[in-house]
Amino acid sequence: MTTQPPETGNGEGGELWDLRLYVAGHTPKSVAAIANLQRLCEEHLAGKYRVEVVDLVANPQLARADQILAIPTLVRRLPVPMRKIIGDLSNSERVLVGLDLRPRPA
Amino acid sequence: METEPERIYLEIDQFRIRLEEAEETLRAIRRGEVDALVVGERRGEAVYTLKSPDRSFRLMIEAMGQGAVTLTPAGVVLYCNRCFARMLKMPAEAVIGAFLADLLAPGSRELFQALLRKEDGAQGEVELQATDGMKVPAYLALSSLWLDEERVLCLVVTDLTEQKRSERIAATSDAKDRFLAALSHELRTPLTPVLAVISNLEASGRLPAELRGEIAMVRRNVELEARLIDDLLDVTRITRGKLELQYQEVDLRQVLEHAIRTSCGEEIAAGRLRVITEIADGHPMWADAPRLTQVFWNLLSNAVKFTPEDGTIGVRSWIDEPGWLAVEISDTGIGIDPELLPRIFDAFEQGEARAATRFGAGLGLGLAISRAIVEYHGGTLEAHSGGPGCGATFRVRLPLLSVPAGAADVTRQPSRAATPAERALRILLVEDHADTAEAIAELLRLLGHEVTVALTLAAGLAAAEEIQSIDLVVSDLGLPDGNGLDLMRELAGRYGLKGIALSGYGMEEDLRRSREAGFERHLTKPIDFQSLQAVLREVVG
Repeated sequence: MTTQPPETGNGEGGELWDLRLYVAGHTPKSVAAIANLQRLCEEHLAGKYRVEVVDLVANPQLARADQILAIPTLVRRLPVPMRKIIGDLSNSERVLVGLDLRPRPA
Repeated sequence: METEPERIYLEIDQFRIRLEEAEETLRAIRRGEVDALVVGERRGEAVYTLKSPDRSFRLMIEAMGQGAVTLTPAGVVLYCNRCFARMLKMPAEAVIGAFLADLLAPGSRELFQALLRKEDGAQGEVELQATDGMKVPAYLALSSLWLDEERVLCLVVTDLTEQKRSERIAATSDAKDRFLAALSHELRTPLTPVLAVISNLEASGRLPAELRGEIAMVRRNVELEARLIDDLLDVTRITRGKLELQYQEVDLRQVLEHAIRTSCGEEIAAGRLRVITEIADGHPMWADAPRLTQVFWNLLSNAVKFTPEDGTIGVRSWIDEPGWLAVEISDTGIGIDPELLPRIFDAFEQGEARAATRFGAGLGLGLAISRAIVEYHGGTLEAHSGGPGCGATFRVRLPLLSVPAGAADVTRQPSRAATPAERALRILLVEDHADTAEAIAELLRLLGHEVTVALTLAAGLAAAEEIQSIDLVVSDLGLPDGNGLDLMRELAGRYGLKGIALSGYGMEEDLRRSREAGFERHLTKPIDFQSLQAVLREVVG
């Protein structure tokens, strides 16, 4: 995987960003993560993203698919490779880096 | 096929990713960015949430019956409770992150943007656009809040759907009442001169003997129609709970005697019916005398109507139990079908037309109005009957006024003798309908008063200016060049005059307005001889 060229970091190319956010009902961090994600997507991926919110309180067995431990967790399913960002997404800088929308700090 | 070094390289890379993920998880937990964990249990995964000390407040906000929303200053939804999501018929996840303006009906968006621009405490009414296509009227209250050094807006959303619905119903009901008031005005106006002329003729003694019976029949029927119109007005008052009673100390004996005279005086005089009275004396109560008279008049008129010639009507009153007076009106008439008995007071209910028609027109309203009046007085009205042909008994129970022993004599009003010898008054009559004006003027002159007639507000003011010694103003409220209320305010202010209002409108609101303008009394048309005479006596003393 690392042999592939790194992501360009600006989401160009018209590919769809398929994101899945695992939440636990309406816990404050879950709610905050939803809001933060919506904002970040509108700012950086407008028009080319899809977010699926999965409530693990309602369907805990869905945690297995992406091996979720802590909630909230954001999973980038597309573009590959898959990435996970754990927490309420309040630190925008970290999220952008985690999604490869920003180059990793050296 | 992967070569051995490539395979090792890939494995190391996967270990690195797993390690990064584990570190990321620990970091997020330490920094408090996580508040739930998935725990593998024997029966599968389970989610455990980490409870924070403010959980009870969060639960309260989730459970409250109003929408609670936090917004960024630009209007993006950061959080919404269940109630708000329900109003929009959307899952909360879909609401969060949206621009609130996009969740409003297009017509409300501009107003909402204006609310957002206000500094603090902005409030306004908007329509939410629910996903099922319905527009939900809602009241928004915005306030500013600092959360972790970031300004957010708190929004409380109240669903106004129910309130709007009851407002619409009230508006419809108001429109109906206004229509009824206007209709009764139209129905009454022509009765006024007719009734005045007849009363005038009967009182003048100029009628040839052979016409008296026929003229009395005409008067009775016009009076009956006037009463039907009054009943209509009472119905609108009662259904809206707006019957206003004027309480004073009343001796029920006088009320009963008056009701007997006016309801069955003619039958007694002609020997068609026997009326046996057994009325307790000296029992004061706090009551509206004209309204109670109306009750007993209704009950007695029914008894007369349904009792064949040579029958007997009994009126009896007694202390039922300490503090309660019972009045029983019984007849030997056609009786009441037991099946109908429970419903005879329900004239306002739908589907009760049958009960009313079985009794003949008018009865339905009269009994319902009577029961309402008695209940306003804190009493009860019940009907009993042995069945068809066995007569009927109506029993009224009313609370007595508790007067300390010996105080009764002090509080009792001196009874006014109904003497025709009254002081001659100078009366200014303002009435634009020339026929009505002439008929009323003639009535007043017959009572020995001096009357000046003015047909307009301006003429009324001029006459008051010219004749300095006016004792009383009697004025119609609807005048061609203005309003009788304004005229009264002017005359009361300038000359300190007393007045009696004449109006086709007799709603509580109309009575209140004429009181406020300075009228001492408000007479609803058609004006009859007796009530005009009584009111004159009351006003001038």
